[in-house]
Amino acid sequence: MKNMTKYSNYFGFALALCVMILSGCSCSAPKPTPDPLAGFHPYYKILNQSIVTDYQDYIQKLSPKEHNNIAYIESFEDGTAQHAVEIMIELNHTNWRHILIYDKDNKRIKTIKYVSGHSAS
Amino acid sequence: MKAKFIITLCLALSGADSFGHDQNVHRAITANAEASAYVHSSAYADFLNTISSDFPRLSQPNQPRSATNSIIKGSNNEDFKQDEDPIGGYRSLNHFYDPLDTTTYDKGLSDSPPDRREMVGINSFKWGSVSNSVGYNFPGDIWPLNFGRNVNTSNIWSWPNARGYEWLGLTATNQIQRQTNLDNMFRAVGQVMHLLEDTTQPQHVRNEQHLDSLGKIAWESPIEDWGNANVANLNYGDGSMLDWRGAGFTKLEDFWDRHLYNGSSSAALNADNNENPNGGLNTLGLAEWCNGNFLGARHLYAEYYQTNDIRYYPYPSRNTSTDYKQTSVNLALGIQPLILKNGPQGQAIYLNKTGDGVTFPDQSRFDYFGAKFPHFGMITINDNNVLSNYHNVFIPKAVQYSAGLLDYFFRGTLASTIISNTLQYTTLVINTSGQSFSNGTFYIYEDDTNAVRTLVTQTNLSGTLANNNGITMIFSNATLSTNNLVVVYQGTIGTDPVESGISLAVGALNLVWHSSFEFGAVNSTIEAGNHLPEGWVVDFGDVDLVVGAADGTAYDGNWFVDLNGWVPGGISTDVATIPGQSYTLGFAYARNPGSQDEDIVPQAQILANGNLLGTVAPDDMNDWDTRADLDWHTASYVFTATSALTHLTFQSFDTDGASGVLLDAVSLTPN
Repeated sequence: MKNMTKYSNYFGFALALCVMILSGCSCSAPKPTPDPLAGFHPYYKILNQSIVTDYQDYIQKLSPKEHNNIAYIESFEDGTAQHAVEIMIELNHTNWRHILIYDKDNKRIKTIKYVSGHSAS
Repeated sequence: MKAKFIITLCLALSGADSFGHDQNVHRAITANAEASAYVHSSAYADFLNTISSDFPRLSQPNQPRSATNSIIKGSNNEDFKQDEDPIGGYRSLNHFYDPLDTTTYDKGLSDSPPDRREMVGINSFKWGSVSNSVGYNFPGDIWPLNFGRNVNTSNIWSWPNARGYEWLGLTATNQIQRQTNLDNMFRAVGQVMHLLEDTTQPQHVRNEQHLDSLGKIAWESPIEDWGNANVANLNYGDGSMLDWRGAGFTKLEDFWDRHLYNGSSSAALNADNNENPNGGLNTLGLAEWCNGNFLGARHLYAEYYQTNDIRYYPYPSRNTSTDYKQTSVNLALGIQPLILKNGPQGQAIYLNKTGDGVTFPDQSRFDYFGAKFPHFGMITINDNNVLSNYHNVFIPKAVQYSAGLLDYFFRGTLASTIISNTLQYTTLVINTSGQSFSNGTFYIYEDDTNAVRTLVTQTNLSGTLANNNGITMIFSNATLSTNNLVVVYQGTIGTDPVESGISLAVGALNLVWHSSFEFGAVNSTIEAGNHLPEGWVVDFGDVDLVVGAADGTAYDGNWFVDLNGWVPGGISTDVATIPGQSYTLGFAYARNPGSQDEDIVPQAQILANGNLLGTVAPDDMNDWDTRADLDWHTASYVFTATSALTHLTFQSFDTDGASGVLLDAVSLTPN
């Protein structure tokens, strides 16, 4: 009985580990709800230079590993002249989104970094 | 101990976890392919030129969204799993294409641990070539956990979906709608490029499941690991683009599989190898090429398996594709330094690929038992030399084909001219795609000053419109406000069943045809056979594409051309014209001040359809400091068009050296 309990625990642990690995779980910031970019839409115009300077400075301060694995950068607007910049970083098949949100005066008011999902190439 | 066993068992039975090239490798392949296409594909460059007011080609810090950004994004996102992409699901289960599979598994992934045959995903061509392609409902393994489960998925980033986005990107009323759809179109094209690129990963064309998220536990892909670790130093090729027309490709499937190689012999592999890299009629689809020339990590030489084994593929063959027969009896022949990350670490015995298609050294390495018992010939590809050589061969191929795929997507091109009179415009729209149009409609749109796009007129195509033939569209000019016009064709181009009725061609439509060589990337010398912005081709020698933005030296815009690059060169383009109509060809020219040091007065000839219109020979004592100092002149010639396309040529004449006539602001105006 003792052994069965022991093996049962092992089995549970093993299955949990399998689930974690195969579903790509990791001990990282959870996906925020609501989506921090809810209400924003893609922005195709020229960004204010203050925003450009700020997000480029943010990128410069990323770790070398993050810096080297930036997949793409995109800009957004919410219709009230608030802008956002999203920096997508892919690290070991984990997708990290860094969202920088700016107010109408182009000052950064929020920085959100979270795992949005995973990839398998 | 038991726990380890259980974990291993679970993982071994856990179904699908497929990996092709790593995402960073895809991003790099795609970026290089886009750059190659921009240099070699006038169709792609023309498309970018036409949409430039809505969507730029390159990202800038203050404008990160661009064509290249979206293509690379697509190439990256094709690998999303279901937690990132609930619609597409576990996308990479659909990233396999086995060209030799003739079973009901239909060329898709059907290798489930431990190498048992089980349908897991649909093949990558089908996933990428059908509108909203429906994925295979894979229930997963190990009830009740259903590892690898992938059900109710579909692909909204397929090739036909890209065409849908393109249509809206060209015709939607509001600029933001057009931009959003162009963004989606480029992303979808990038996702299809990813699928094609994965066919250069041997495991993806030899139905070889791999489970990389398990790390070193089981079935890790050494190919992916090596590419990932060496992405910054991979060989991305010579910047060339697959000549799919020269190779006889007529449909999207040809990029994957032309069905020339069926495994019965190596003839198709050899025929392909004798023609590459430039392409010829024996050029294989990428999946065929990779399947027959490379080994997977477990699906190795044909001699190791029974023909009904899931791991069996007829080529490469250890006995006929490599120097095994010589090496197995004289091991010294195969001895080479074993190169690890920190340098040479002893020696190992390698088999070189010597036949049956591509040849290259170190296709595989004898493992310990192989070296001990060479007549068994046990080998591995998990070796730095082997994987380095693999990547040296298949990554340039991925770039080349991926660039060709971009050219294929944007192959629909139009040349248009418009002649005004007081009541109406008569427009001649010519198919310059190199393939026939059929079952389609031509549309002319106008943008107002707020970039609102409205339909001016449309004309159905009756029957077929062959290449270099045109149709006439007539409409009242009273309805126009800006004359900022674009012409779009939607219908069939060529005979690709994937695109029936949804192919698109686009071109700007101007009252006066004008070209000032804008939208260059960097100052560069362009050699014969390559193109310049706005549809120009270098016919001989080379020319310099020069940006004068910094000191304002261009006559018009920011860019101009020096007709002498390192040597005299000539450029030409085709412009739509009305036969019998009189035109004035105008342009600006100046002396390259460097010619003064060479004591040369540069000359250039101007020709229309091969007939000499005149020669210019600027002899000013000028300099580069300002536009005024460069002392631009203008000239014009009148001629009567004799054909629907007039071939305009500007060529350096009797001018040696690297300093020729500078050319800008070429225009063609109906008289």
